[in-house]
Amino acid sequence: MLKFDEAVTGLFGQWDIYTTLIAGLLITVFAYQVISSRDPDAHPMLLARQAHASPVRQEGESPVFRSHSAPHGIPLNSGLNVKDPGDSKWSRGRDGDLRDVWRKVITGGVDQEGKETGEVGRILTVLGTENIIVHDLSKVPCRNAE
Amino acid sequence: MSTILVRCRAGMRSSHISNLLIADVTRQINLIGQHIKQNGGERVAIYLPNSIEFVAALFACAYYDLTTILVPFDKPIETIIDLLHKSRTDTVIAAVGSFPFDVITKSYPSLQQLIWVVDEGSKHMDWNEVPTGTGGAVNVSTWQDIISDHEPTAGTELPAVDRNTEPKNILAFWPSGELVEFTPANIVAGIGGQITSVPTTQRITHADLFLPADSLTTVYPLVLTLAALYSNASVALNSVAGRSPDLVFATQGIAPTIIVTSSSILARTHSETAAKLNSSLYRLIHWFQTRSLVQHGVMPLATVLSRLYDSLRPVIGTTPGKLRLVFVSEQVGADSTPLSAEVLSDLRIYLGSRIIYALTTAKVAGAVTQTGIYDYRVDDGTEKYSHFGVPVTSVEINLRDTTEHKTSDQISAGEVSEQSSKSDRLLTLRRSLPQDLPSWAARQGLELWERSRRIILWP
Repeated sequence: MLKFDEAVTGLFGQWDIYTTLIAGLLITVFAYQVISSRDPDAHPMLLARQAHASPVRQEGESPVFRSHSAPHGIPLNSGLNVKDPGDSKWSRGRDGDLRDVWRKVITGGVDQEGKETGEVGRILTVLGTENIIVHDLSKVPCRNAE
Repeated sequence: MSTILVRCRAGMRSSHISNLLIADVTRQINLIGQHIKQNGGERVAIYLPNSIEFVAALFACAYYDLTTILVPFDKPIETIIDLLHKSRTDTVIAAVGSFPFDVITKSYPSLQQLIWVVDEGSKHMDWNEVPTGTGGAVNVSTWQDIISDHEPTAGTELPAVDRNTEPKNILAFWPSGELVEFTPANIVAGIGGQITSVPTTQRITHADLFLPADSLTTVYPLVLTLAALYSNASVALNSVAGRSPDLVFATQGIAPTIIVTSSSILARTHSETAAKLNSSLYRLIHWFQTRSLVQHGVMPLATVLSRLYDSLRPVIGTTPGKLRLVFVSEQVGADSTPLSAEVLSDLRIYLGSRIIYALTTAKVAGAVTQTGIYDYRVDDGTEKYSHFGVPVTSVEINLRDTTEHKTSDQISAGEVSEQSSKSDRLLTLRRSLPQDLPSWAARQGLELWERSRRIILWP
């Protein structure tokens, strides 16, 4: 016990300005690492296994590769999943066509319950370079609105 | 002109203006569609730069049961005539001054109808008048006259949609001159695929300002723009898009959050910026930022040191830092500039935005495969092309053995085969590639990353 006491005393007895600097540096580096570390945007495993191959393949063919968001066994994404007013929110929407794209532009965003949120996008026409039309979007549509 | 615009700005709230505008475009869709239909048009060629008229004409064709033909803008006159012949166009919507009327009526007599889109500056001229001795049977009118000849209340309601009829097809030209016919189902599958192939948190929302900095006559930017419209994002249309070789010019005056551009423009942006940023201090900063991307898998944060170089980075839009996503595509069988994984990684640092690099082919609307939005990995440096990621959600890929390349238990190889699309609503790769593939794969060797090894598609 006495030896241990002496060892500890000896250790701290040697403490000087350099020890303080080194210890301070170590703590700073550690703190910086902790503070600045960020989780990767995607798990490396997800990056390494991006496509999903079908479990079986035909002789002379490769498996069928698909995105993870469109797994095997369900149909590929075939459209816009348009839900008309009154459709059940659990039902699969129609594929729709271009007309539904413009209809959506007019009605604006809808939330999960199918209610309109009033989030209507804008269409801006940028005419010429900045010398002619100043850096402002809001006035650009006036050309069509006047 | 600019004074009128400034007064408008002072007088109206922006949301008010946008609502007016949308209603106004709806009116244009109706009136133009009715006009073409009444005059017996069936196959409508759109020969316009990116503009509101382009969008309106596209939807007019969808609502009024007309076949749309997207003619690449700013091509030599011989090419245009050739494309008109190939597509059997009977109606052309063209920008004034871009379309030599007499030459085309002489060499393309089946033209029946022509609608000029007149810009503000030349509105006062009488565009309806056909020069004597030319034209003859061609019915010439201007877009603005068609709109202003009707009551302001006319055409404000969209026609009732008959769900049993599908709109007509959309025809587009690949840079090689190949004419591809897309069914409406192909287009919506492409749009749906583009929307859902990005993680939910990164999807296009109504808060985004989307700028197609590439011509909308190319199907990939068109499909993305339609996806942005469907997602209720704001869309900025700039007529220099696709023609200006400079990303900074194409984005002037607005602050886009998402852009779609061509690989040649990005390659140019990269080489110009890299030439400016060549000091040894910057190289050190760049090394740290690349490390953050590649090793840590995160977008690098701006630091005091990296801000020193902000003025040398490309200035995208009026509010730097707003840009969050860049879509860029490689066109199979066309002469597009390859982007390597290093270049893409550098561009992520220069632009401060994520980049999705997509592989597109003539016969697939939207992308075939695209790199994951969070995939910042850099290949070993020997490859000319960066890796392309997984198929989008509307596409699946299947390879057939060839004499040289066979699928084994270790590796998937072969050519993209022709049969199989499970439903004809979906264009899968196999319908598209037999003729493109030899030149394409010989040139680049498409790679899909799968279980950390490459699948090489060879002819």
